Amino acid sequence: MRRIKFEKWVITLVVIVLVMGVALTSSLAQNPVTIKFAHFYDPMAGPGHIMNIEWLEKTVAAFEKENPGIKVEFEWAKWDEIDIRSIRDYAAGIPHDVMMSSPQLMPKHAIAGDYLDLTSYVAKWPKPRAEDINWTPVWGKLFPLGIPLGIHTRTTVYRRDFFERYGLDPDRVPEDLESLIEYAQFLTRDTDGDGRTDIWGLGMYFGASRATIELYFAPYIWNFDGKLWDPETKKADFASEAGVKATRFVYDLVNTYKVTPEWATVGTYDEVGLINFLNGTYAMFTGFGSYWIGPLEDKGWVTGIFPPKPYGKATVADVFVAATKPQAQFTNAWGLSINKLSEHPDESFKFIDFIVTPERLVDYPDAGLPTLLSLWDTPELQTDFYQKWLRAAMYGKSMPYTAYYGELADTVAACLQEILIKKVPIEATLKKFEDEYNAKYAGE
Amino acid sequence: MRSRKGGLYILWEYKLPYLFLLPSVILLIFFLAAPLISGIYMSFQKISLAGISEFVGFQNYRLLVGEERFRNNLLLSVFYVAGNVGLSVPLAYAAALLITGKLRGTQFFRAIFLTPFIVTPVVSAILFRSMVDPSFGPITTLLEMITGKRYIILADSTLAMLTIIGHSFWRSFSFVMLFLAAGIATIPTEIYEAAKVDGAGAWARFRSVTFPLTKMHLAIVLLIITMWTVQDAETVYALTGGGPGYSTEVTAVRLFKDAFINFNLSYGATIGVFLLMLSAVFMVLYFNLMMRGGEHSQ
Amino acid sequence: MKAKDTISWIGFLLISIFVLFPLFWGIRTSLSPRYETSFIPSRLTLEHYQSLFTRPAFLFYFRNSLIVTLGAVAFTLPLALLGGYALARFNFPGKRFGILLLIFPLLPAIAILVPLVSYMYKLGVYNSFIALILTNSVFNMPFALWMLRNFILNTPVEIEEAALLDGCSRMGALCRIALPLMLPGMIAVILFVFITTWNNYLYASALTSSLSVRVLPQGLLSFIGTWGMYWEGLSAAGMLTLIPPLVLFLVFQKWFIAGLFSQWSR
Repeated sequence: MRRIKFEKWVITLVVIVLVMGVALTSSLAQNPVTIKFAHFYDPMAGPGHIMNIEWLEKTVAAFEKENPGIKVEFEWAKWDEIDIRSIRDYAAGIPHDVMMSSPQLMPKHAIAGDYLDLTSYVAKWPKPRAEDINWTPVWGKLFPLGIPLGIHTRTTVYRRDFFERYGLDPDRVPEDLESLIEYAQFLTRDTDGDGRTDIWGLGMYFGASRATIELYFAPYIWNFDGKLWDPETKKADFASEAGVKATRFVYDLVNTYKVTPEWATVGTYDEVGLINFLNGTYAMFTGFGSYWIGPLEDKGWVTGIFPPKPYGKATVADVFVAATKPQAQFTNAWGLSINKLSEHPDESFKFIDFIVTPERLVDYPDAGLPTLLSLWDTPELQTDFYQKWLRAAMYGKSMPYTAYYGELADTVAACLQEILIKKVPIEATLKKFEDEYNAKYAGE
Repeated sequence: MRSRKGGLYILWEYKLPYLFLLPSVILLIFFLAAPLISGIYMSFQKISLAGISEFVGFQNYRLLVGEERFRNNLLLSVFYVAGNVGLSVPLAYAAALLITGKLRGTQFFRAIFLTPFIVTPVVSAILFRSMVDPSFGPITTLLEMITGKRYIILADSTLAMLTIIGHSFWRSFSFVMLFLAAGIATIPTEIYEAAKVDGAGAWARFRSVTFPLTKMHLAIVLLIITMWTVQDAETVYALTGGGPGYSTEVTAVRLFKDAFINFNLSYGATIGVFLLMLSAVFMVLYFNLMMRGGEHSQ
Repeated sequence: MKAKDTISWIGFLLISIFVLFPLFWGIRTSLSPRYETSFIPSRLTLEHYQSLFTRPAFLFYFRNSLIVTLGAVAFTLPLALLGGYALARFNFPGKRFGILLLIFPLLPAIAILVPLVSYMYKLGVYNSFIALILTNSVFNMPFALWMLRNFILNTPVEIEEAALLDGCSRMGALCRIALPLMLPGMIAVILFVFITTWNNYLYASALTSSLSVRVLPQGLLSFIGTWGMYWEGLSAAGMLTLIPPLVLFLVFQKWFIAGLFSQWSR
């Protein structure tokens, strides 16, 4: 009797252990890890954003299919709030996983410490893959805290039909500042005789936005061999001789040669730039972004350009690289980063790894220009139009590596507005603003 | 007469009011008072982005007061409030007198008139921005018809300031008007009759009857409007972004930029304290007005 | 008295134009085709409104806003009522600290955002409707308390005292007798909390991170996008956002005015 009872107990015990073991392992296997992906594409903001959301959903579906244990959830913040959001939430102890990030604010992230160092993950990439992406100037600005998704750069866009109408060869473009001014003066016209300019020779933007320092001041200070900020002394340097020359240049455009409208200081970058160019207000517009190539195609001013085709041609609108000595315009990229408080960094990197591949990025609407060298080799991007953008990307420069870049950008924009609108003395005003900035942020 | 014994006895004695007040007080202390105190504490520190804080005493205050841009911020806040109040007092009074007159149909209109107050601030700010747009704004066109020159309103410091004052005034006007109208409605008509019999003209009637008897209403509503205006960063930022240059950067917008956009906690906290002090100054001002008003009535 | 009447009417007309013109401009913009530059639009179109309704997002944000706003009202009202009653009817040590209530509204919310967000996270309600309901209630509480306190002070005590003499408990007196009298004050508070919560952007954007808890003011900002300002869509959305609070005010305006303004007539 005892023996039988004992055996029964052993069997029951073994069965229980087996069942528990199976249940445990199966629950472990089925337990999905959820990672959050923070982006700024807004379903309410029009077709541009919706295209990107659809691309994201498609990509996530494919990712989840390949990795059944991982689920991706979306988070959202406005594009100009997403970096600060990360820093702020880090300070409040709120975790995120994968986030889109911008290189101008990388120094801030570096100091705040809210992004993970991705060196160890990228080290595992095979050499050809690494070289496919780390050639671009934007790599150094994002890595090791982020991986670039696509290059955004700017050129000067112009109306070939205006050139032809007024007797200029549309394939010959200005290559330095002096000829730029000449072209602009020639093209500024009052077409309906009402005493007001209807076509402005050279459109620009000086509003209260980071675009002002990035696209409408930096290229010119670079032209005169100056810099915005000195990395040795860690002080703002925009009131130097080069800065004065650059400021005088833009001042003259608006007030002396009158080729740039005064209302360039008011409104948003898109309104003053894209919308007005599409409305025919400008013969040329500088600081035209690679994110605006799509609208050119929509308007019919280029064909076969977006999506890129081997026969792509610029018909009505065309571009040329910045007419400055270094031909440098601001170049940056949106990147993907992993939040330090993420509870699933490995899965998060898996997702980044999945996205940053040619197959996934080839139809990413917001990519701008490809970061992957392999994507540039295709015949679609060998057209004149895209080769010019490639040159712009290669000569492109970036913004100063300081945690207070945001404040620097606001200071320069405010300074330029004061000078342009109130017509105050250039040198003194630049100095005043530079001193104000340095008083608070010098040395960091 | 109950004798005042120890603390616990008081708690029991007045248990009902304390109980009624308990949830509100807890919430206020926890969510408002505590962050306020920590905010004031933060203003005496320098907090790096990494979260490391060091005590620096009044350094933040000194830096800000020594900065021309910040002194300008404070001045602009005062202008902003003064502009709004300066427009409100005469115009809203006149309007209030009008509608407490014979016009009975104002019942329905009252709700419509409150619409500026109800519209989402960002929406009304953007609406005003489109109204002063250099190419198609009706106000730009109107200005051109009057002066012959086509101004770029938001590119001119003075005009931009006038626009934000105008917007703020537009939003609060009806509120002030209705508030004052309610106050005027409480004045018994006999007093007016007596004044008329004494030979007092319209202005004299206003000065000696209407104004003194509604002084308290005025003080209260002005206090409310001032508080809203001083703290208003949303609409000013949406209208002008603080520009052109820094010429419409009122203190609230400066606070918004430093704390919210640039995540500069120490400066943000310090500017917050300044804002608090500014509000307190206005409050003291209005209480004085109210006190003196109380003495003079009758 | 004819002259006086005409002056009144002219004045009234001027006021109406001043108050209503921007709104008229908003309606005009919402019904115009895109990039319309003339004052009177060449044609009227409902396309912007249609595009709002065909994007499910807008109605979704509408619903979210309703949840948060009604929640805030439901949370604030009882607490403010109790507190206001206590401050008005009782005498107790510390009553004079009630004046502190006037200090709280002076506090700029932006300055305390970071500690607030951190609290919410620790409470486990970050990125939820509860965080928004709580924050909006708390920030409206001082004003609501003050309003109700003043209103109750203006309501005659005799009726309650009579009820007490008849043997009602304090609580019973409050519920059955005083409450109906306080209706205008309560409605004033309800409308006030409703309108500030409905239009609030700051807390919503700081305390939420996913689109599922997004509210209308955040949705409105979508129109100020990276691809230019969609004036027409923003106007249309703005007009629609205006409707619920406007309807409420229209229906309850008598009580609102009575509740808000009569408290000062002492």
